Amino acid sequence: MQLVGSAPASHTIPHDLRELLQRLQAENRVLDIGRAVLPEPDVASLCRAASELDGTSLLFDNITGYQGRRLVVNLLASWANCALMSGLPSDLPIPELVQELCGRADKQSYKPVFLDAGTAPSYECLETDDVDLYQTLPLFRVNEHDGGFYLHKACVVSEDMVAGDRHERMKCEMYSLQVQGRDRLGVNLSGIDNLSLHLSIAEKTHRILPVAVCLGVPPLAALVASAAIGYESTEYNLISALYQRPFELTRCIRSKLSVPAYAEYVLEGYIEPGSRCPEGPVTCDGGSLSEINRQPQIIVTAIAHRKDPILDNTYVGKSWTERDCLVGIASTLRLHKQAKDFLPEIARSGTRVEDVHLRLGFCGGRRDGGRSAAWMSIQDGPPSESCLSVYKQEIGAARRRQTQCQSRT
Amino acid sequence: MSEPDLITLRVLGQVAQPLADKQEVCPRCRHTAVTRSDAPDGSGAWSINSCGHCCFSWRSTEDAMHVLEIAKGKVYWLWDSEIEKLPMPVPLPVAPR
Repeated sequence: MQLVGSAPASHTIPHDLRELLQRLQAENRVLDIGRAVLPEPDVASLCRAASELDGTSLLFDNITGYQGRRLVVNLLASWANCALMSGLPSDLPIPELVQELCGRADKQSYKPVFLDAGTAPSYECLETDDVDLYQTLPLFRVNEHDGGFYLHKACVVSEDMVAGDRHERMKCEMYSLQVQGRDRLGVNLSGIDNLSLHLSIAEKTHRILPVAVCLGVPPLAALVASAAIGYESTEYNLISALYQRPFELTRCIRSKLSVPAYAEYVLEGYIEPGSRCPEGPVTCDGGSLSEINRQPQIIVTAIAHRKDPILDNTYVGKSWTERDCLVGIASTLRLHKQAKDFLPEIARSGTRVEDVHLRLGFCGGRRDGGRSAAWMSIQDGPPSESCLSVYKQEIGAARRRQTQCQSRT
Repeated sequence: MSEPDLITLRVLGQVAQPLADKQEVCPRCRHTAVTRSDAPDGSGAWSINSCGHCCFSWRSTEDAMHVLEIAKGKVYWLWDSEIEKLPMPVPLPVAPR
């Protein structure tokens, strides 16, 4: 691997979720829960305990009623795991990890490549008749008062229906989905995210909105999907840049959407225009319970998955969670991109700016206490590459909080 | 289902628990549009019940009424009149005049 920044290389970048899992197992960072456990309350309780302890990843392969199904949770709930996901040593300091990823993001010289659906691992097995999410996915109630079984690491692919061939408007972003029926998924939308925008555009023309839900995507794809990088650029280019090679995609069989070729599951479907169903309540970051809202519903028409698939889900609640790590790094990537876009304009205007603090609005991260806020200082004179790289992420505060969690236990 | 008065509510509460145990009605909205999915490995260890009306779902091995208890210890029921008033983050398009 050729490093962009100064961080030392330790491995190649894990190609997909399975490769990362193997690497984490080799470093003893995954706890294999081999004993028989009940979906409720065992799985959720173990997830919460692991989150409060030190963010240990858990692999379940003996859940009662789901014999033969595998579930992994809290995969990226520690900085060490995030470093390994990026092909870096697990003891790499966080600022160096972030700088390395920002350096890769600057060099977007790779474009995605397409694999035939026939050769793409994510389409090894295909169900198109009588799809039943309850039979296919090892589900569990993440928090006891949630209104249903949630998937908190679902990457939803959709596109602007009037964009024509402008594929940069195909978005792959992370949302929380509630399984609401054998072929139904409720989407937890905020109204200002890109999927809401795509849906509004489709509804204005009375068209269904094709979507694809990808579960267990390659780890760096999950990172970028949680970054909310903007409407005018597709996540797939940034994922390719972070992997430092072309990211493999494949076409859906029932729409022209592109999905990761190495996802564990791909759920193809659509959102019916003009329809809203009750969704929630759901426990949010920080542990509070959301309201019940009327939200759009995805109707699943086909389920594709790898052989012996692994469902990747995560715990959301009071303690430190995987989403804190993902949002912390992803927000830095977003800030980096915004700074690259806007700082030259400020320099051209001749304005001298010091100590500019940017508070970011997250689409799923912690909003309390500014823990995920990022800031940067602008030096005298026109901004240079070195100036632009001076970003400090308030991950330190989050890290202290994680240490406090550990010391309490 | 319209919102009942307090006396009816109390009676419904007494009736609802055994009904919920039989998994014939949704414990949240009282509708009977409940579908059932058995454990995929055929062990019969549990089944998942899902309400097609209010979208609440629960496993047969859970205490559904406990799931519906919110922090104040009050049972959360969702009547039709309330469903209509729920917030809608993505508004429906306005029909052209």
